[in-house]
Amino acid sequence: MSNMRPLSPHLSVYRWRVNMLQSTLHRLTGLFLCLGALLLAWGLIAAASGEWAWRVFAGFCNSWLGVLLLILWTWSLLFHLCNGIQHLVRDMGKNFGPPMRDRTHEPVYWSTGWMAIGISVLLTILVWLVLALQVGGSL
Amino acid sequence: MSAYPGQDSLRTPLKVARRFGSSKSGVHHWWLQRLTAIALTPLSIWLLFFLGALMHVDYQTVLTSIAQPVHAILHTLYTQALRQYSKRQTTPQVWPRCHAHQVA
Repeated sequence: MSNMRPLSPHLSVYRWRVNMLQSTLHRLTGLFLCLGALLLAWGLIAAASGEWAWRVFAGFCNSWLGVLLLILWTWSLLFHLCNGIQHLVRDMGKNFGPPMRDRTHEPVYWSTGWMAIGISVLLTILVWLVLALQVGGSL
Repeated sequence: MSAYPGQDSLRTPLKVARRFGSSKSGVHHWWLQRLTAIALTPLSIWLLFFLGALMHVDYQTVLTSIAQPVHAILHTLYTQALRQYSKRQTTPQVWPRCHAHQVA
């Protein structure tokens, strides 16, 4: 039997906005950075324990899984950083007035969202390019 | 016996509810969240540079890098700020019965 009673409005009543993606990514990257913090703790403990422990840690970081995790961690950190700065700016009330909130007026509110995502991706590529050049001996 | 959850004996519902407001440690929480967030902004950029420099160097170089006073201080600040920041993100503020402060 189908439910004929009216449903209360849910997420589907909202138009899709980039801040929905930002919010989800901010939480997911935050969770992923917890894993990164564990890796950082492992590295510090390994450095304090001795050369053998450090070699195990360095070996993990040089494996394909380690490099993948480190690239994801770099992007998570940089996205969380960019989006966090935007959070801090918006919490001060910047770009938050009624004309700024809708696409029909000023697009700045939404474009900064795309900028936070774009800049974090560009910075991640830049960081790993520099690291690759470092390994290659060019830097 | 009583009509309201959490009500014992003859206490009125207001007496029971009064302890469970949201504003117990809200300002403290807000300030620590803000301060650690602002502190972590430059510290994260330092961390990226620091870790980037540590890649592909031998164990002794790692030790001497961490032992440098500037890096040691920044590392301590980073880990402590991160600890406080993560704590702020994972502790809900409106969590009534876990903050059962005594009201005189």
